[in-house]
Amino acid sequence: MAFSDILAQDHITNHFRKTITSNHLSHAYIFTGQDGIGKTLLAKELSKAILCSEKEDDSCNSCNNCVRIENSNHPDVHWIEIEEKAKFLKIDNIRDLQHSVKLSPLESSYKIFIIKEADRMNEEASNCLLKTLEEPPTSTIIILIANSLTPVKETIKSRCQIIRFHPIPAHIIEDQLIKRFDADTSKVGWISRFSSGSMGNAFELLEDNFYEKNSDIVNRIGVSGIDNLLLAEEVIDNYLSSSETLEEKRQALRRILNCILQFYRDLLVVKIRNVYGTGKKTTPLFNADHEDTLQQCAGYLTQKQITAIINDILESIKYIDYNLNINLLVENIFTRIAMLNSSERE
Amino acid sequence: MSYIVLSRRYRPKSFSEIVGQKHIVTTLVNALQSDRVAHAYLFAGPRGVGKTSMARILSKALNCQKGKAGNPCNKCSTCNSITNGNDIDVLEIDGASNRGIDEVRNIRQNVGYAPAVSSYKIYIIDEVHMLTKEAFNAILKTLEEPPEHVKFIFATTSPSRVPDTVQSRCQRFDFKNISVPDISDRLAQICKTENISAEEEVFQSIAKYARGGLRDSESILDQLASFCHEKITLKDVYDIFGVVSEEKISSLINSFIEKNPELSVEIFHEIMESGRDIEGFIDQLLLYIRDLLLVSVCKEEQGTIETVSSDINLLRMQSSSLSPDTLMYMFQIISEAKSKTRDLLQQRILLEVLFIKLATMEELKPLSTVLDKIEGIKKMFEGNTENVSKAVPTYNESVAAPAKKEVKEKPSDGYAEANNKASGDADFVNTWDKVMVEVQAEKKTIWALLSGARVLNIDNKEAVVEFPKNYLIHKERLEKPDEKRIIEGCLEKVTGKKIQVKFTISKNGHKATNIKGSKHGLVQEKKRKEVEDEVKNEPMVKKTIEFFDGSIVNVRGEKE
Repeated sequence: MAFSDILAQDHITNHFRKTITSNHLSHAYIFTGQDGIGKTLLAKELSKAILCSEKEDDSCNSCNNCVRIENSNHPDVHWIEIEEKAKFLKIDNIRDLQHSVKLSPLESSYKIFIIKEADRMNEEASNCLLKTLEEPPTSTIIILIANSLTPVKETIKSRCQIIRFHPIPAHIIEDQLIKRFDADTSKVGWISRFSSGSMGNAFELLEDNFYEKNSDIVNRIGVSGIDNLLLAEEVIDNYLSSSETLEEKRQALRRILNCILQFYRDLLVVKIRNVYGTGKKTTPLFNADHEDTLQQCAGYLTQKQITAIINDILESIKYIDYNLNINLLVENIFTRIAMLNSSERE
Repeated sequence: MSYIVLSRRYRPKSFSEIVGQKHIVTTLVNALQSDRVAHAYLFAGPRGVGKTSMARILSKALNCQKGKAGNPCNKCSTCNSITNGNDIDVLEIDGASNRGIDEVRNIRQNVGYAPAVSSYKIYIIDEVHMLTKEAFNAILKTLEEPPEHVKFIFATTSPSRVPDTVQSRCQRFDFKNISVPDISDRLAQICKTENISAEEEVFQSIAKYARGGLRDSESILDQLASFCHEKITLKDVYDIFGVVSEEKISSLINSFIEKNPELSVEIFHEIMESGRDIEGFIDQLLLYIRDLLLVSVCKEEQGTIETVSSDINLLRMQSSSLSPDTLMYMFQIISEAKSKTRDLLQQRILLEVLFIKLATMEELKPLSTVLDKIEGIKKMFEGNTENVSKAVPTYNESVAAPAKKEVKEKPSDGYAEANNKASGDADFVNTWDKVMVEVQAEKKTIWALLSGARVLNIDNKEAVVEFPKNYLIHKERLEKPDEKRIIEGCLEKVTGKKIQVKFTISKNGHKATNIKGSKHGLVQEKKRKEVEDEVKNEPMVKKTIEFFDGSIVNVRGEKE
């Protein structure tokens, strides 16, 4: 791997090429962007490029340094991660970092600290980091990786250069899926839209055969008169029973709800088109191959009902993370959808 | 030697270099000159406005070997060592990492020793808000009366978390956010010394997005400088910030105005395709709406309002077609959307739904016009009281009639039919009423049990009495031979015939009829009628009924 292998983030790789050659590296960076978009990968590549003994502005992947970074055992590249079972990055993790920051690099010109999931630092940890982040000793680079910038404190953001990762365009994801997995073209289209620009997400979806699951779900909820409990039972049996831990179950349910959400979003778009439409079909639908079902549903649901359903699903998704019975939640969600489906029109 | 970022290299080294905190600089310089420096300071303010720098400059000014008129020389060894952060007498402590009572005890212990070289021993505690409660309390006594040679300087971004007992022992200085012109001047100055070429507007827009933090803007400038090697353009700034161009946002707002939901979704889609950060986009949209709101509320001459977006004429045009209440509503629901979910797909869908909602909703009327309307109605009442008396006779027919009708229609199942039948030959109903009076005289309990029931038919042999669905127990009790005999006795008394009583349970579940509603000559009932009449004749009520074309459905006393 080298910079050139990082997909669709040219603005970032070019930036770092330039900064490395002109020796303009800042001491602190925040890499931000959604999951599965290449932030950790780039952090690794960047460390390689900085420490590589062969090449100037890229990694050679063959020198001693590059190989060791690839295998995460380079003494001057430190990874700070959330401990197992912990919810936050804690002050002790940061204190460890502060200790190593004080020492000079063992064998290279720089020492690099990569803090993963920096958006999950707790209050004490982020405050603890502030002074170190502002004025670390020379030849120290601290990279914070965060999925979202909102939970990161202003005081931290102000001390770092913020590098924003872009979602990967759908066509690149499609290409990759076809190239790497030899996937079906019909599937690939849907997956690239559903993954919303995250390559990691797309891979998982493909592996999970999620395209088929989605079609199945759409077919089930696309009919009038949903039998809520039966549907809930089916969903639980088919999709949730295979996952073992609670976390896996939650993840699976989240995906399914996203599917349903998407379906109703499409429905809303179709509805809008029918009511206000100019005839142009420029807004893409997620479920473009189920347009008949969509049209049919749009016939008997009002805009208000659809909006209510979407809001309801969003509300339910919040509850997934709470400590409650997942099966009950599923039943509840489908009951609500069925109820709103048949509720009186105003 | 590795590169040191601009914000560190251009950290102010003397009072005159500090940007935008004039009120504090003046106070401190005067205090130094008149030798009235307090022993403890608390510097509070948002990030990147110069708190730590000020603390360092103050300690330099206090300890400088050649210091004259309160300004550090920045040449002597003390000044240099303070700048580099390795002075023996100026101890800069990271309050967030050393937050426990033990660290504070350490300070307390060392406070007693005289400074090694300089005239003062200065403790700078940065991020002081992270000290624990115990640590704060441990330092109180020392902070109140430290030895003569000791000064404390605390710096924090959230002064509210510093206990009052600590604040009262310090002189507190509140640092302000630095204004846009101040920041852009400073950036231009840095660019000049660093030989960075940039467009004029670049500084302005950096300053706007940095929201008052000088360090933020310097970080961004640094990033831009290494990003583009020639001239920095406005587009680069947008790229770095991940912001959406203003035209896109204003066209989105336009689509709301034009009520074209499909277009709004389309524009939103384009924005997302261009790889922008969704949270940043929401912020920007909120700022734009804020601008619109500002423009629509302040109609004064130009230049008085500081807007984020540049095209004020466009803002004026758009704000004229959106009422402030609509804008307020937009702002509210969009800002709620920001915190609702963190999943990208969900966020996108949520926003799409919101935009469709905004593009299809009707213009919100300001609350005041609604109030005016109500006020107008009230006036009509007050002005027309004399007309009311004339309206009385017509009222009784027109209003009371539908009211009665409505009450009758309510129990539309079976019961109504039975009622109609009953009115057809009211004979047996009257008979039953007489029977009930007899029963009441004979045995009160039976009367009570019967009162929920109604008679369906009485012929020569049989009287059929029906109970509501939930009255099974009543029925069973009345079916006991003793009770039955009493009822049959009463029946005989009234009709003079031997009639058998048969009880049934209503199948379609009519609820118990209101006991008060049945006409068994209760005093309450009469009273109720009087009250009802009284209410009906009240002029205000009449007028209301007339105005809204309404009817009286129910009259209730205060206590009911």
